Amino acid sequence: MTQHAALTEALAEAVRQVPGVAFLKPGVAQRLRAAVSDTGDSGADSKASPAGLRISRSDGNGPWKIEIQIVTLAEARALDVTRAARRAVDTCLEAMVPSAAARITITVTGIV
Amino acid sequence: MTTGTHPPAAPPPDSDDELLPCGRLLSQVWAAWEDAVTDDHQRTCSHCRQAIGELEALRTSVRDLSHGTEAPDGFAAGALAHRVMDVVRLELRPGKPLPLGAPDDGMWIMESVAARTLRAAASRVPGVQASSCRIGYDDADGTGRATVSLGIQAPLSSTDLAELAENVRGQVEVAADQHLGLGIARVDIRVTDLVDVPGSTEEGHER
Repeated sequence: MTQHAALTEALAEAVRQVPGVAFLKPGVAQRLRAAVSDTGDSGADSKASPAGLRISRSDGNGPWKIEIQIVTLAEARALDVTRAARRAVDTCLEAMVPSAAARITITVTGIV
Repeated sequence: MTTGTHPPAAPPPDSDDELLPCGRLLSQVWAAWEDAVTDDHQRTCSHCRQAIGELEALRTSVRDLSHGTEAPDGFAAGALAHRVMDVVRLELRPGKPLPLGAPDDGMWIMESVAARTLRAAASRVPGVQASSCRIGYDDADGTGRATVSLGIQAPLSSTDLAELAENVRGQVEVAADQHLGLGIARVDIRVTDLVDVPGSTEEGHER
Protein backbone atom coordinates (compact mmCIF):
# COMPACT_ATOMS: atom_id res chain seq x y z
CA MET A 1 0.00 0.00 0.00
CA THR A 2 1.40 3.40 -0.96
CA GLN A 3 1.81 6.14 1.60
CA HIS A 4 -0.99 8.05 -0.12
CA ALA A 5 -3.39 5.10 0.08
CA ALA A 6 -2.44 4.30 3.66
CA LEU A 7 -2.90 7.90 4.72
CA THR A 8 -6.25 8.07 2.94
CA GLU A 9 -7.47 4.95 4.66
CA ALA A 10 -6.24 6.05 8.08
CA LEU A 11 -7.73 9.53 7.81
CA ALA A 12 -11.08 8.20 6.62
CA GLU A 13 -11.23 5.81 9.56
CA ALA A 14 -10.15 8.50 12.02
CA VAL A 15 -12.88 10.87 10.86
CA ARG A 16 -15.55 8.18 10.82
CA GLN A 17 -14.79 7.46 14.48
CA VAL A 18 -15.44 11.05 15.57
CA PRO A 19 -18.64 11.29 17.63
CA GLY A 20 -21.26 13.18 15.68
CA VAL A 21 -19.92 12.19 12.28
CA ALA A 22 -22.58 10.17 10.50
CA PHE A 23 -20.44 9.31 7.48
CA LEU A 24 -18.15 10.77 4.89
CA LYS A 25 -19.95 12.35 1.97
CA PRO A 26 -21.16 9.38 -0.05
CA GLY A 27 -20.80 10.66 -3.60
CA VAL A 28 -24.27 9.74 -4.81
CA ALA A 29 -23.95 11.21 -8.28
CA GLN A 30 -20.77 9.37 -9.15
CA ARG A 31 -22.12 6.07 -7.83
CA LEU A 32 -25.37 6.40 -9.74
CA ARG A 33 -23.57 7.30 -12.94
CA ALA A 34 -21.28 4.33 -12.50
CA ALA A 35 -24.26 2.07 -11.86
CA VAL A 36 -26.07 3.02 -15.04
CA SER A 37 -23.10 3.22 -17.39
CA ASP A 38 -22.33 0.28 -19.63
CA THR A 39 -18.89 -0.20 -18.21
CA GLY A 40 -19.70 0.46 -14.61
CA ASP A 41 -17.17 3.27 -14.75
CA SER A 42 -18.52 6.78 -14.35
CA GLY A 43 -15.82 8.28 -16.50
CA ALA A 44 -14.38 10.07 -13.52
CA ASP A 45 -11.31 8.73 -11.80
CA SER A 46 -12.75 5.56 -10.36
CA LYS A 47 -9.55 4.88 -8.47
CA ALA A 48 -9.66 8.22 -6.75
CA SER A 49 -9.88 8.66 -2.99
CA PRO A 50 -13.15 7.64 -1.39
CA ALA A 51 -15.90 10.21 -1.80
CA GLY A 52 -15.67 12.74 0.99
CA LEU A 53 -11.92 12.52 1.32
CA ARG A 54 -9.39 13.90 -1.13
CA ILE A 55 -5.68 13.99 -0.59
CA SER A 56 -3.19 15.51 -2.93
CA ARG A 57 0.36 16.81 -2.88
CA SER A 58 1.79 19.10 -5.45
CA ASP A 59 5.20 17.46 -5.17
CA GLY A 60 7.01 14.93 -3.01
CA ASN A 61 8.06 17.48 -0.42
CA GLY A 62 5.21 19.95 -0.57
CA PRO A 63 2.39 20.21 1.94
CA TRP A 64 -0.42 17.71 1.82
CA LYS A 65 -3.73 19.15 0.71
CA ILE A 66 -6.48 17.32 2.54
CA GLU A 67 -10.16 17.98 1.81
CA ILE A 68 -12.71 16.18 3.93
CA GLN A 69 -16.46 16.36 3.48
CA ILE A 70 -18.63 15.00 6.25
CA VAL A 71 -22.28 14.48 7.04
CA THR A 72 -23.00 15.10 10.71
CA LEU A 73 -25.73 13.89 13.04
CA ALA A 74 -28.52 16.37 13.75
CA GLU A 75 -28.21 15.91 17.50
CA ALA A 76 -24.60 17.08 17.43
CA ARG A 77 -23.44 20.67 16.97
CA ALA A 78 -21.87 20.95 13.54
CA LEU A 79 -19.04 23.23 14.68
CA ASP A 80 -18.08 20.93 17.57
CA VAL A 81 -18.08 17.89 15.32
CA THR A 82 -15.99 19.66 12.73
CA ARG A 83 -13.47 20.76 15.35
CA ALA A 84 -13.27 17.21 16.69
CA ALA A 85 -12.76 15.91 13.17
CA ARG A 86 -9.98 18.42 12.69
CA ARG A 87 -8.28 17.23 15.88
CA ALA A 88 -8.63 13.62 14.73
CA VAL A 89 -7.01 14.52 11.42
CA ASP A 90 -4.16 16.33 13.17
CA THR A 91 -3.57 13.36 15.45
CA CYS A 92 -3.59 10.95 12.54
CA LEU A 93 -1.18 13.08 10.54
CA GLU A 94 1.14 13.45 13.50
CA ALA A 95 1.28 9.68 13.82
CA MET A 96 1.74 8.89 10.15
CA VAL A 97 3.61 11.81 8.62
CA PRO A 98 4.91 13.79 11.61
CA SER A 99 7.20 16.09 9.68
CA ALA A 100 4.86 16.94 6.83
CA ALA A 101 2.89 20.16 6.59
CA ALA A 102 -0.75 19.93 5.59
CA ARG A 103 -3.49 22.28 4.48
CA ILE A 104 -6.73 20.86 5.75
CA THR A 105 -10.31 21.78 5.00
CA ILE A 106 -13.29 20.07 6.55
CA THR A 107 -16.74 20.79 5.15
CA VAL A 108 -20.13 19.80 6.48
CA THR A 109 -22.07 18.79 3.37
CA GLY A 110 -25.09 17.35 5.11
CA ILE A 111 -26.86 16.87 8.42
CA VAL A 112 -28.95 13.77 9.09
CA MET B 1 -22.34 38.12 0.46
CA THR B 2 -19.76 40.82 0.45
CA THR B 3 -16.22 40.48 -0.62
CA GLY B 4 -13.29 40.93 1.70
CA THR B 5 -11.69 38.67 4.22
CA HIS B 6 -14.78 36.54 4.68
CA PRO B 7 -15.16 33.85 3.58
CA PRO B 8 -11.45 33.30 4.10
CA ALA B 9 -9.03 33.30 1.24
CA ALA B 10 -8.61 29.54 1.37
CA PRO B 11 -10.24 27.89 -1.61
CA PRO B 12 -13.68 26.47 -1.06
CA PRO B 13 -13.98 22.71 -1.15
CA ASP B 14 -14.27 21.20 -4.58
CA SER B 15 -17.64 20.03 -5.68
CA ASP B 16 -18.04 16.73 -7.45
CA ASP B 17 -18.55 18.53 -10.70
CA GLU B 18 -16.53 16.90 -13.44
CA LEU B 19 -14.55 18.71 -16.08
CA LEU B 20 -15.13 16.81 -19.30
CA PRO B 21 -12.16 16.31 -21.65
CA CYS B 22 -13.68 18.91 -23.97
CA GLY B 23 -13.43 21.54 -21.24
CA ARG B 24 -17.08 21.78 -20.26
CA LEU B 25 -18.42 21.04 -16.82
CA LEU B 26 -20.68 18.05 -16.48
CA SER B 27 -23.25 20.12 -14.59
CA GLN B 28 -23.32 22.72 -17.39
CA VAL B 29 -23.86 20.07 -20.04
CA TRP B 30 -26.65 18.47 -18.07
CA ALA B 31 -28.31 21.81 -17.31
CA ALA B 32 -28.18 22.87 -20.95
CA TRP B 33 -29.71 19.57 -22.04
CA GLU B 34 -32.51 19.81 -19.50
CA ASP B 35 -33.21 23.41 -20.47
CA ALA B 36 -33.08 22.52 -24.18
CA VAL B 37 -30.44 25.14 -24.88
CA THR B 38 -27.72 22.91 -26.30
CA ASP B 39 -25.37 24.51 -28.79
CA ASP B 40 -23.54 23.10 -31.81
CA HIS B 41 -20.61 21.96 -29.71
CA GLN B 42 -22.79 20.00 -27.36
CA ARG B 43 -24.69 18.37 -30.20
CA THR B 44 -21.54 17.12 -31.89
CA CYS B 45 -19.02 16.64 -29.06
CA SER B 46 -18.63 12.96 -28.19
CA HIS B 47 -17.85 13.76 -24.55
CA CYS B 48 -20.93 15.93 -24.13
CA ARG B 49 -23.11 13.38 -25.91
CA GLN B 50 -21.82 10.62 -23.65
CA ALA B 51 -22.57 12.74 -20.60
CA ILE B 52 -26.10 13.37 -21.84
CA GLY B 53 -26.52 9.68 -22.54
CA GLU B 54 -25.55 8.93 -18.96
CA LEU B 55 -28.02 11.50 -17.70
CA GLU B 56 -30.82 9.94 -19.71
CA ALA B 57 -29.82 6.45 -18.53
CA LEU B 58 -29.77 7.71 -14.97
CA ARG B 59 -33.17 9.31 -15.35
CA THR B 60 -34.60 6.12 -16.83
CA SER B 61 -33.10 3.99 -14.11
CA VAL B 62 -34.47 6.20 -11.37
CA ARG B 63 -37.87 6.16 -13.03
CA ASP B 64 -37.80 2.37 -13.24
CA LEU B 65 -36.57 2.14 -9.68
CA SER B 66 -39.45 4.20 -8.41
CA HIS B 67 -41.99 2.32 -10.52
CA GLY B 68 -44.64 0.70 -8.35
CA THR B 69 -43.23 2.09 -5.14
CA GLU B 70 -45.90 4.63 -4.46
CA ALA B 71 -45.85 5.61 -0.83
CA PRO B 72 -48.88 5.09 1.38
CA ASP B 73 -49.53 8.81 1.50
CA GLY B 74 -49.89 8.93 -2.26
CA PHE B 75 -46.42 10.28 -2.90
CA ALA B 76 -46.04 9.80 -6.63
CA ALA B 77 -43.24 7.76 -8.14
CA GLY B 78 -42.44 10.66 -10.43
CA ALA B 79 -41.89 12.90 -7.44
CA LEU B 80 -39.39 10.40 -6.05
CA ALA B 81 -37.50 10.47 -9.33
CA HIS B 82 -37.46 14.27 -9.19
CA ARG B 83 -36.07 14.19 -5.67
CA VAL B 84 -33.33 11.76 -6.57
CA MET B 85 -32.34 13.90 -9.55
CA ASP B 86 -32.39 16.96 -7.30
CA VAL B 87 -29.93 15.24 -4.98
CA VAL B 88 -27.66 14.44 -7.91
CA ARG B 89 -27.76 18.03 -9.16
CA LEU B 90 -27.15 19.39 -5.68
CA GLU B 91 -24.13 17.17 -5.33
CA LEU B 92 -22.62 18.44 -8.55
CA ARG B 93 -23.31 22.07 -7.69
CA PRO B 94 -23.71 22.19 -3.94
CA GLY B 95 -23.72 25.96 -3.62
CA LYS B 96 -21.38 28.10 -1.62
CA PRO B 97 -19.52 27.12 1.51
CA LEU B 98 -19.74 29.23 4.66
CA PRO B 99 -16.94 29.32 7.20
CA LEU B 100 -17.58 27.59 10.51
CA GLY B 101 -15.62 28.90 13.48
CA ALA B 102 -12.75 31.31 12.91
CA PRO B 103 -12.47 32.41 9.30
CA ASP B 104 -9.07 30.81 8.74
CA ASP B 105 -9.71 27.50 10.47
CA GLY B 106 -10.46 25.68 7.26
CA MET B 107 -13.85 24.52 8.51
CA TRP B 108 -16.91 25.03 6.34
CA ILE B 109 -20.56 24.24 6.06
CA MET B 110 -22.50 24.34 2.82
CA GLU B 111 -25.05 27.13 2.70
CA SER B 112 -27.82 24.74 1.64
CA VAL B 113 -27.19 22.59 4.71
CA ALA B 114 -27.18 25.51 7.14
CA ALA B 115 -30.24 27.01 5.45
CA ARG B 116 -32.21 23.80 5.89
CA THR B 117 -31.54 23.85 9.63
CA LEU B 118 -32.52 27.52 9.94
CA ARG B 119 -35.71 27.07 7.90
CA ALA B 120 -36.71 24.19 10.15
CA ALA B 121 -36.10 26.37 13.21
CA ALA B 122 -38.22 29.20 11.81
CA SER B 123 -41.04 26.79 11.02
CA ARG B 124 -41.22 25.75 14.67
CA VAL B 125 -43.04 28.99 15.36
CA PRO B 126 -46.73 28.03 15.23
CA GLY B 127 -48.31 28.74 11.85
CA VAL B 128 -45.07 29.87 10.22
CA GLN B 129 -43.72 28.25 7.09
CA ALA B 130 -40.21 29.24 6.08
CA SER B 131 -39.54 29.43 2.37
CA SER B 132 -36.33 31.02 1.14
CA CYS B 133 -33.21 31.30 3.25
CA ARG B 134 -30.03 32.95 2.04
CA ILE B 135 -26.95 33.21 4.20
CA GLY B 136 -24.20 35.71 3.58
CA TYR B 137 -21.49 37.51 5.46
CA ASP B 138 -21.26 40.96 6.92
CA ASP B 139 -17.72 42.27 7.00
CA ALA B 140 -18.67 45.58 8.54
CA ASP B 141 -17.71 44.62 12.07
CA GLY B 142 -14.80 42.45 10.98
CA THR B 143 -16.12 39.39 12.75
CA GLY B 144 -17.26 37.58 9.65
CA ARG B 145 -20.54 36.59 11.20
CA ALA B 146 -23.36 35.49 8.99
CA THR B 147 -26.33 37.50 7.90
CA VAL B 148 -29.50 35.55 7.29
CA SER B 149 -32.25 36.61 4.93
CA LEU B 150 -35.33 34.56 5.57
CA GLY B 151 -38.67 34.55 3.77
CA ILE B 152 -41.67 33.27 5.68
CA GLN B 153 -45.36 32.72 5.22
CA ALA B 154 -47.18 33.96 8.28
CA PRO B 155 -50.59 32.84 9.49
CA LEU B 156 -53.44 35.07 8.44
CA SER B 157 -54.58 35.11 12.03
CA SER B 158 -51.44 36.93 13.17
CA THR B 159 -52.28 40.10 15.03
CA ASP B 160 -48.71 41.29 15.57
CA LEU B 161 -46.33 40.52 12.73
CA ALA B 162 -43.44 42.28 14.45
CA GLU B 163 -43.78 40.00 17.44
CA LEU B 164 -44.09 36.98 15.17
CA ALA B 165 -40.93 37.98 13.32
CA GLU B 166 -39.13 38.42 16.62
CA ASN B 167 -40.13 34.90 17.64
CA VAL B 168 -38.87 33.54 14.34
CA ARG B 169 -35.63 35.48 14.74
CA GLY B 170 -35.13 33.99 18.18
CA GLN B 171 -35.64 30.44 16.91
CA VAL B 172 -33.20 31.01 14.06
CA GLU B 173 -30.52 32.48 16.31
CA VAL B 174 -30.82 29.65 18.82
CA ALA B 175 -30.62 27.02 16.08
CA ALA B 176 -27.63 28.71 14.46
CA ASP B 177 -25.80 28.69 17.77
CA GLN B 178 -26.89 25.38 19.27
CA HIS B 179 -27.21 23.16 16.19
CA LEU B 180 -24.65 24.66 13.84
CA GLY B 181 -22.24 26.85 15.78
CA LEU B 182 -22.66 29.51 13.14
CA GLY B 183 -22.20 33.09 14.35
CA ILE B 184 -25.13 35.26 13.33
CA ALA B 185 -24.87 39.03 13.02
CA ARG B 186 -28.36 39.74 11.74
CA VAL B 187 -31.53 37.94 10.74
CA ASP B 188 -33.66 39.77 8.19
CA ILE B 189 -37.17 38.44 7.92
CA ARG B 190 -39.52 39.08 5.04
CA VAL B 191 -43.14 38.09 5.38
CA THR B 192 -43.86 36.97 1.84
CA ASP B 193 -47.45 35.91 2.32
CA LEU B 194 -50.25 35.62 4.81
CA VAL B 195 -51.87 32.22 4.64
CA ASP B 196 -54.87 30.70 6.27
CA VAL B 197 -53.22 27.79 8.04
CA PRO B 198 -55.55 25.25 9.65
CA GLY B 199 -54.56 24.85 13.26
CA SER B 200 -52.17 27.76 13.03
CA THR B 201 -52.32 28.17 16.76
CA GLU B 202 -50.84 24.68 17.11
CA GLU B 203 -47.33 23.56 16.42
CA GLY B 204 -45.50 24.89 13.39
CA HIS B 205 -44.36 22.77 10.48
CA GLU B 206 -40.86 21.47 10.34
CA ARG B 207 -39.40 21.15 6.89
